Amino acid sequence: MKGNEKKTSLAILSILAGVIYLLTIYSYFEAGLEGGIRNVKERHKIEADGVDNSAKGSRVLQRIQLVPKSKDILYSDSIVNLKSGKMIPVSYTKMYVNDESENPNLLLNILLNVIVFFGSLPFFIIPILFYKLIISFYKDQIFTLKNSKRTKTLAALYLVLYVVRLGYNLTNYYIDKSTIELANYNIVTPDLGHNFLLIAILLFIVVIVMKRVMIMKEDQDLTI
Amino acid sequence: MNTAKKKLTLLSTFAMLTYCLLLLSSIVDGWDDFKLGFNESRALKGQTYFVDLKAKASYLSFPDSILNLRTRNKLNIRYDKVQVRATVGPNSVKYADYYLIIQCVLAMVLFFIGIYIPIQFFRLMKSLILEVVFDENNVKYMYRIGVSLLVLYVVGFMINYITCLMNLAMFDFADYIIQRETTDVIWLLLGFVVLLFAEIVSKGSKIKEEQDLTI
Repeated sequence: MKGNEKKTSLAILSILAGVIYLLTIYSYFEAGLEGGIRNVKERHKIEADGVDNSAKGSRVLQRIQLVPKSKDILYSDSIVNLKSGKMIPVSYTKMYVNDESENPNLLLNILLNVIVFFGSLPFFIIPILFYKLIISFYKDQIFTLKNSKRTKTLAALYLVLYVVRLGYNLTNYYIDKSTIELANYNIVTPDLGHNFLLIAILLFIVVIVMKRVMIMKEDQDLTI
Repeated sequence: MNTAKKKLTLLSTFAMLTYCLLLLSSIVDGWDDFKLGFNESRALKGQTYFVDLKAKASYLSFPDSILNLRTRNKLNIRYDKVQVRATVGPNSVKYADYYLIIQCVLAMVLFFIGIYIPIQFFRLMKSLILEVVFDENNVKYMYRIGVSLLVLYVVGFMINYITCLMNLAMFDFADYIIQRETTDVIWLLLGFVVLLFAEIVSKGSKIKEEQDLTI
């Protein structure tokens, strides 16, 4: 009876994890969609105007993170609050920059594109492996060689994703620092995504645990 | 078997170190805000509001500009997140007192979870380093972490929702829409995945128990 309950809770948790993973993919997709549409529209605009800025290596958009330069000027900007009609002091922490000037870091930009290309590959493989694993758990087939291999590949892919994301963010940060300097703000490093590294290591631990159970099961079967 | 043992110890140690790195980067990220808050409380009167903005016209519009000191060119920009220093008291917002009380309670819950999860995580890792894998306590730690992550997501979502409601009632900007800060769904996913693995370890423990009994 207790075993059956365990099976049901495992199946329910598998379904929930599958649904939430869909939600995660959607939220990443939603964020990336805006950037994608913008780039397509920019390309159309370039074609319509007959001027190709990409030949000069122009960077269309960059999201940068800021902190005030001096603690004496904490709110260096202002904005009108339409509710009260008054100007209120503000400090910007994140902004999108549309830089159309000639980009001196063409090589770095190419490197960035290469990183983005290779970095996007795990994004397609991870969901497939994840769902295969979840379906297997749903069927109550947990400690199998296939699942252990899938988990190991997932861990390796997350590790690749971590390295790629770190490289991408640091290259971006370097480009921003070398091309942009603002009067009242310092550009700071964005989120370096250490959570991907943690996920990868935890998955490797799960692989070891799975393997141990598999050995125990084998021994048990042999004894019987 | 010995290599596997070494691997587990090594990986658990790495996991602990990475978690420390994660915590440290969160502290570093928030440190400037903390200093800002500390300094401003002495320098100015009023309150700081964290507002998430989106361009009103479209995602192609950049309503503001800023001077790039490197090139002396004006850059087109669009603000994404701002800290607004305003004297608009929360009294101008309907139910403001209730919102503030709920926010305080939720912030306390968040603070508690922020301490509780690392404690459970380090206990689990310590147990794995000591080569204790199939143990009831480990399953407990995993359940606690999983449930805490789910609560973390829900509380984070509620805080962001209330903050957005308050901001909408207090501010209105010409070129920007005020929006709710997104709560990262990864915490919800991690919560369910950790609960799933707790079930798996629990099953493994059962098999080990049976094996021990057979011997």
